[in-house]
Amino acid sequence: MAWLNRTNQPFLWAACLAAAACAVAPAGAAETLEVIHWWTSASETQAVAQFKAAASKRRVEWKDVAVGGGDNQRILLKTRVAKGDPPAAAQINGLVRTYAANPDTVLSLDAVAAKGKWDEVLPDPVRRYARLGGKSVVAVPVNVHRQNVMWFSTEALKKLGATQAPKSWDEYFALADKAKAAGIVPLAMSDDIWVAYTFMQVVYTTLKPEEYRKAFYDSDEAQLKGPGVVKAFEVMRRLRGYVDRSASTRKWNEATQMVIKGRALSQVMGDWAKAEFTLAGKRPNVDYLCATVPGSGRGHVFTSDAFVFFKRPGAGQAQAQVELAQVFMDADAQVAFSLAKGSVPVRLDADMTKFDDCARQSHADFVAGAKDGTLAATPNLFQSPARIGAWRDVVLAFWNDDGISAAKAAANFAAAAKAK
Amino acid sequence: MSTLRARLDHWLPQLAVAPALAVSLIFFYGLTAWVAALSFTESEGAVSWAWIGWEQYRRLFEDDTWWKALRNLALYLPLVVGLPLVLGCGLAILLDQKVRFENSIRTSILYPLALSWIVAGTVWRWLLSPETGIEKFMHGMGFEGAVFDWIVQPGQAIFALVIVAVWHSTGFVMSMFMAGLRSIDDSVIKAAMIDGASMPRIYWRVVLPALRPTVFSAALILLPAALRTFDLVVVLTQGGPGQSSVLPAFFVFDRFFRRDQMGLGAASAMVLLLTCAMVAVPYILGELRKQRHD
Repeated sequence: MAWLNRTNQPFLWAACLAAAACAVAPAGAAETLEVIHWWTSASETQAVAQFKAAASKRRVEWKDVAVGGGDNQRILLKTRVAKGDPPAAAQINGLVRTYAANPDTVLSLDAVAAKGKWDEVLPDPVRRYARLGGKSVVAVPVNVHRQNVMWFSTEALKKLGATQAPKSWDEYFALADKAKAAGIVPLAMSDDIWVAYTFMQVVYTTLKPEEYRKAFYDSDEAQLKGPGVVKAFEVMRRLRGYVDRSASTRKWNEATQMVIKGRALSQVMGDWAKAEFTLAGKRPNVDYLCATVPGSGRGHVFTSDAFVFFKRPGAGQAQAQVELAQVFMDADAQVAFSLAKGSVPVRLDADMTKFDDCARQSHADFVAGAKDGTLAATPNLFQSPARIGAWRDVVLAFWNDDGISAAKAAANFAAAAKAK
Repeated sequence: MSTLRARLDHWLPQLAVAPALAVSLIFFYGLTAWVAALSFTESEGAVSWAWIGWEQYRRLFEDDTWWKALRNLALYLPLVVGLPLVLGCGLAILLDQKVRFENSIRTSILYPLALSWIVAGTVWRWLLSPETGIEKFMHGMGFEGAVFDWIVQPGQAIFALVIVAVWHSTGFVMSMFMAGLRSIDDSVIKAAMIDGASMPRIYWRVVLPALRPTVFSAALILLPAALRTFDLVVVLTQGGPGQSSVLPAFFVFDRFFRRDQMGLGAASAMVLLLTCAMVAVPYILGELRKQRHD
């Protein structure tokens, strides 16, 4: 045996050298972590590179598994978790609960969260999101996308004699009537999921913050069929009249193009639509407005990208995973990431000086909403995909059938919450 | 030496088939059994082996969307199997008249098969959309009142899917019929002509019966393809508007992967599989028996 060891030693050394030479990481044994995410577009890749760079400073080598399309990523992740070979970390936004429910597979981040005082820099709904399904912190949120944005074409506004975005639904309807008469599509709508998305932004304006929380965080039946939800369906019925016939064949970015070209007055879409405007050479507040959805005031509805970490064999892995978790929560890394991606950092104390007006406003509202309790998370962060899907079916059935009354739709909506 | 050779000759074919056999055993029958087992569990987002009997099937048949998917399939299936057969056969007969540019015509009809669904679906989405497609073209031609908006009408969206499915498979069926027609002995047709039969009569009484195996294989390719139509729904309508163009295979995917209802998705997949078997098995058995008699 000793003989074998001796003769093999040169070979072993060569192998070690080769391995070290192949690794891109700086000198010293960097631990490689496999990270699955669905960020594949140019700006998203740029954004991921910011985290990668920050990770390599902490001697963590980020091995990229970028899977185009959220659906594909979820399928891959589900398969790998099911066969017992999970990645070190995975992007996950609506589905944390399914995985977090199993503490055997998911790494608890309590220690690092306590050490980094995460709870002090995260607002309440985000703290809740990071702990989904239990008492332990299992997810690291990295950014915030504002959802309740209504984009306006200033050119179309000017044609209608308006200078600013409407503040209430009544003001909006008055403006939309004028747009219709002038041959401009009042509301650029796209395919089905965005109808349901719009409904969620509308319902935020017709419910009080605590009613919204009861309804969409806790699925309280009384709230789900209450007057606020009925009112939201009534608004949706009126909005239906301001949408053109081809809406359901359109992708969201095609609808954004209608606003960019001034063919449509407005669109309800998250802050990611800004990339489309920027790409077309349009400037905020000059060519377009990023207003909030009428009736939300300065209220903020958000979604957030987050990562979970899976338990892996190997001594170095857990330590490297903790390092990576700290990278994700690092204020500078979050700023660099969001600047490239077009979101805003999830940390309340992030430095926003480098961002544009829309993003600064979003973060200011995010911080203010955290203080006064108006900040709301999209239901997708807390509810099961089955329930979200069932709600979508109800909204779409109502949208496509004039025969369903708002009260009936609200009753169906509450009943759909029984889907597991 | 010769015994070794003989033994090798004996085992080589088995060895050659073994990998394919293993693959089909594991990935087809193995996974089918896995899905079947899953349909009796309460699995939601992750696999769980807590047995709940027929509960998922009960939930499935209480689900309005599943019934909608089945009704849609009942409308969709006869059309996307029947129309390509009729059109493909007709086109093949027309092309078989030794026309000029036969090759280029045949290629252009066969072309849809070479296009990926993602590309074809996007183009068709634009073509079918009233804002950008055929309807707008008609308006431009001067037919101001023309309406062609099946894809946005909940009652008609399923027929928009039929158009694209038929467009996609007709060329393929046509080429099968072309091959069938070319394989018919000319002397049979000449004999019929000498007997004084007219051309339509020859096609109806002599050629079409001879094409029977072609119809059988074309239908056997079209039918399962239609039963598991999925990509078409994804690229064209995503089941919308609302749930109006959902087909069972799309339902399976939607529940299994998107809505985290694996048990329910598995149950619907089993129903779909049994439907396929119910349609295909008697047909295959019937045809096989006939061939034996011939």
